[in-house]
Amino acid sequence: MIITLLLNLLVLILGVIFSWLPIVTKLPDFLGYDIDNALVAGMGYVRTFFETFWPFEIVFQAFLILMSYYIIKMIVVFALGSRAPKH
Amino acid sequence: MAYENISGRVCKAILPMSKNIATLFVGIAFSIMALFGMGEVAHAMDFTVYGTGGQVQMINYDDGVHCSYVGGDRTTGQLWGDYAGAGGSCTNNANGGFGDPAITSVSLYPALPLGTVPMPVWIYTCATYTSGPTCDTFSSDFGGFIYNSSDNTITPQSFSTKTRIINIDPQNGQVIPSTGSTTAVNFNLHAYINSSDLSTFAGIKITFENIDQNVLLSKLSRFSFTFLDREVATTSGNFYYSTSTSLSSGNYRVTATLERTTALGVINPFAGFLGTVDELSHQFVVGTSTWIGNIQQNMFKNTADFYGGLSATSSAVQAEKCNPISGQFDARQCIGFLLIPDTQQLSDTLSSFRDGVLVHVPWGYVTRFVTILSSNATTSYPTFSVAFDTNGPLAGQSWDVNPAEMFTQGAQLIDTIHSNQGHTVRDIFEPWIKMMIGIFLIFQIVHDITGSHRHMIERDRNNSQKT
Repeated sequence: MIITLLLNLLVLILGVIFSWLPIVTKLPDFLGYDIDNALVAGMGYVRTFFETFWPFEIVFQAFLILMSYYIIKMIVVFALGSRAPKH
Repeated sequence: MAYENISGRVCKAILPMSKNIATLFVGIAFSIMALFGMGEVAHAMDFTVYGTGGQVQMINYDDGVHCSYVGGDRTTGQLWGDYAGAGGSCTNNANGGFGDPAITSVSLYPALPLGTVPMPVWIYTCATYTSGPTCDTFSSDFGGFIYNSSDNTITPQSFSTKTRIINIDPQNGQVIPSTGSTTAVNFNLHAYINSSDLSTFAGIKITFENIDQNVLLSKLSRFSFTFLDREVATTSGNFYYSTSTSLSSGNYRVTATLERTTALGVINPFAGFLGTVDELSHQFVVGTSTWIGNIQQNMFKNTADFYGGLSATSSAVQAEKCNPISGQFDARQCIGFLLIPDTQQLSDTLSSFRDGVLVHVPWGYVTRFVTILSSNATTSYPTFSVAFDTNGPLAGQSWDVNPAEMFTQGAQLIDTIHSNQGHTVRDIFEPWIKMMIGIFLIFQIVHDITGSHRHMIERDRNNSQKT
């Protein structure tokens, strides 16, 4: 309960700090081309393919987990700045 | 000291007396129960029960006025058979329920609704009966009798009229075999509403969610669905709700909650936290589980085990563990409640983090990108048609290409290969592929965090590179 409270407070503070930034609802167009739509449709094809050939889905899930890790790392580096741990 | 000695002696003198008095009261209570209640028990003993092993072949209850002829399935929680009120006839039910080897427990309802008869009638069979309700998880809730088919003994059980959730299907840990791209899953709820609670609360909520995706970034592709949203029971006694829905393969969790939604006719705004009366969560798998889902299910189970049961993990129940005058004070569980984040709360916090922080520029683009990547939506492949040259020998004809058909038929070749034991290629290789990718993933992350195997430049005392 205490840790949850602290985490909620942290999320609340971060939310307030970054609330002035615009919210991303779709990826921006590039040279008039709707990348968001193309990506959604493309991933739909890929998912259909994964349903047929299951090994690719496992690889893809692992890729997503790895990306999640890098995003978390990116946020930590952004939030901590020079205080972020370095190798 | 003298006072303490005197009080100690008085206590020592009173204690044996109090035991005798307590025994006397218990005896009187049992006598009263025997006078008013055992008539029902004796009546209920008139059943014909033929059992072998864990099965019951027939149960028949017929007092000439009311009759029940019911079988039950502990695994699914479904009740089968006929029920007839006064003047009804006992006939076997087309759904069967008797002599079915799959039945591990059968139940016999009383002819009158629960709560209006002194002792509801339930019979359980146990192939490995040990003691009390251990042979059957329902027995402590329903009361009735436990029938031990190994020695043909029947043990009466007490009946609880407390407002509570008795059962929800699918059962905890159940694996529902896949029947295709989607599988029909039955959700059955059985709750009991005490008549004294009827006018004040008893909002019933059932939600289930898909929990096999990445919690942080794929919450959008995880889904939760609410069957009943604080449905207020209008009659006391048993409350049943059944529905069915089609689910794709994966890990799921279903949660039934009894909430104190109203107090004195006013909606309770803190119902989610303070008004939870009872809660029961079951985790199940449809078809093939995912390892992310398994990890989440294990985390939830560990938390539940820590608190001593899946039905005792609600915040309201746990808060009582820190209340020194509640009679439920437990330092270990109190500390756990205070320090260990509940998986649901953690999930909600991460969800807030994603919706409140991760959606903003600039990382919102990355979030959107990952959200698209982790979506479960599929798109049908387009078909191509190539028309031949009008001047050629195939003029007027065309070549139609259907990628979906090509892929499907190509994949079928893999599925047709079986081992001698009947295992498919997927059964054999999928665990290995998952293990190898999992190990690679862990090594990659550990490598990135620790910086291991990076080339380190050797320097001397003056911070110059050694040659």
